[in-house]
Amino acid sequence: MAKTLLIVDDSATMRKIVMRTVKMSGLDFDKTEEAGNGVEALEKLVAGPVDIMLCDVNMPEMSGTELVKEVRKLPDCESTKIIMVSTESSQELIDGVMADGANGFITKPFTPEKFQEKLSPFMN
Amino acid sequence: MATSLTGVQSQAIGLSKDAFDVFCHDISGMFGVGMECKQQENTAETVSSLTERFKKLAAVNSVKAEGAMDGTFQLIFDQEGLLILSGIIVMLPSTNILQRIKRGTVTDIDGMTDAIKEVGNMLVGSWDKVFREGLEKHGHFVQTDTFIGNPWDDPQEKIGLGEDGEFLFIPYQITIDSYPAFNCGVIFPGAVFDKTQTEEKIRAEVRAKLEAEAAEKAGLEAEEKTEAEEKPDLEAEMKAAIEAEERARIEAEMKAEAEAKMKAEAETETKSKALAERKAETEKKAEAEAEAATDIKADDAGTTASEDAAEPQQSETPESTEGTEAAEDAEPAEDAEPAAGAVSETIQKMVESPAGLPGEHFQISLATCAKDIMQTDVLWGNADDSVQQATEKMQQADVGHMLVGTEGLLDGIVSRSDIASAVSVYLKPMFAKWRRPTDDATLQIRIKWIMTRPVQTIKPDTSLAEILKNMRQSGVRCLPVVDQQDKVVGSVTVFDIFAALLSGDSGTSTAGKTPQAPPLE
Repeated sequence: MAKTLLIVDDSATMRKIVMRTVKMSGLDFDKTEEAGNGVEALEKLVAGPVDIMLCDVNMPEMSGTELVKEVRKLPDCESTKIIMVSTESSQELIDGVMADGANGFITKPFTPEKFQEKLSPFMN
Repeated sequence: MATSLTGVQSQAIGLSKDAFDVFCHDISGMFGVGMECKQQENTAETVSSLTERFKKLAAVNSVKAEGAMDGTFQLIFDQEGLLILSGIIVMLPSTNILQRIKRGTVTDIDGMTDAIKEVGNMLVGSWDKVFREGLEKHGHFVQTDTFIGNPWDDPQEKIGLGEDGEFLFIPYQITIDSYPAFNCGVIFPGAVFDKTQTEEKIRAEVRAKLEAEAAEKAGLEAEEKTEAEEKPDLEAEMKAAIEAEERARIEAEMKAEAEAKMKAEAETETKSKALAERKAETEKKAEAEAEAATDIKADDAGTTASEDAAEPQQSETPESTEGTEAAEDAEPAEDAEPAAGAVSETIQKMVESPAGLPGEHFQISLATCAKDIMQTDVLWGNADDSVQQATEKMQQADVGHMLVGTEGLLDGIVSRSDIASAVSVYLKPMFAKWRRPTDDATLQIRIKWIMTRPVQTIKPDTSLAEILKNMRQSGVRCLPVVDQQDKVVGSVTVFDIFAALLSGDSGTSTAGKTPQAPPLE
């Protein structure tokens, strides 16, 4: 069954790279949306929840870690799978964001195989 | 310079090559380009010599290091490098990239700022990944700033390098497809290694002291060792002799036992054959009698129908009642779609049928309800428990499911398979070699994000047939039992059903018995 995806990153270039890499990984998404920061992402999620959210950690206005906490407060987004995408990969950061409700973590640079590995468990 | 390198400096130089290689590998994988990285000879440089190397514009990524390396260092690309890499990641046509390299104007670079920063971001990611695995006590690298332009007129202000300072510079040359090769490298200011240099000095002193002490002990230990080596030889010989004797005795006993067993089996087989023949005769006789009785009953049915409705048929055996109920319950189950992974149809048929497996006779009745087979001692967990905590709880209790909620009211249920699919496959021992921090982190996922909800429940008086039908249709292997107030009073798992089947006593509760769930790998 096709799924919906939301890519959250303050860099438009990175959003395009992520989108391209997702396509290269062969994962089938019915609809893909983008958000340039945490606030924009929340607005989109309130309007309509998504199945999977790929989220940058370092963003202005609202960081990825704050966004995860906010998303988990939304009743309609309980089943949304959140995968963090970041160059930062300290154990403290990863443990913290996982405890707050993220479902996975991908470090940059990434490959289509990495997306395949991390996202495919949530595609069924 | 090379002779005065400390341990951490040497390691950092070696790892920097790996880091650039990983970066090239990842960019190749992401954008389908061929990339090659060659390390040049590392040198001591100053701002003025770096100005000579990077005459035109450059992209300088400042990286804050914590841990074994402490301070800020720089990753630098020359003008061609930043134009080629940024052009590739925004997927410009190669002719366009080549034109930009030829022109090399500030305008060409201005439009690519975002892409250039992302290149730096990814490069820092590669560095962090490599150093995390290769450098002991590495904390982390964070990209703090990306400067694009000419930094050499005010290097302190623009990229944090003092004009009079000396740096360790490790140059690299990268080639991407047919584009011209470009220069890049890492600038390590000496301060980055200061912390570890001091630590290494102290460690070296302590090590020397310890080595001197160890040398003194060595003579004494060598003598003791010679004595100790002689003893094990004698002990080993004695041990081997005892073991051989013991083995011979055990083998003789086993042989005698096997012969006795074979003899006994042969006798039992003869007896069984005789019994089976006798049984077949009896059954044949019983069938003939039953047929005769049915004929008589059919004749009487027309006249005694009203009496039958008012009175229970006491003459019917329990088995025949079960047969009727099974037939009633089996009909809707046939219409339903069996879910994958559910209790097999065979098991349901075994329960519904009065017959058992060949050689077995299951006495379980379809009148059996959830309350007869459920376990009242259920495992509860908190929605905020981590996957790791839940796994430990389930392993300690030796159960395959954990109920989540408070004061007997259910919020969700989590199974070992839910946990297995939430955690990284690299946590399995066979993948230990490739295990990374991101894999360990999946153990911190909260149960509330993976548990199943709403939970399918049953009542204490739900029949066994209904329970099996539920399990088959929904694919679940554990059904919590709730009372009128929706409070959990127990749970029924497929193992409880197996236990009831095998015990041959439908009325016996298996409460308190531990279901043997498969271990979580």
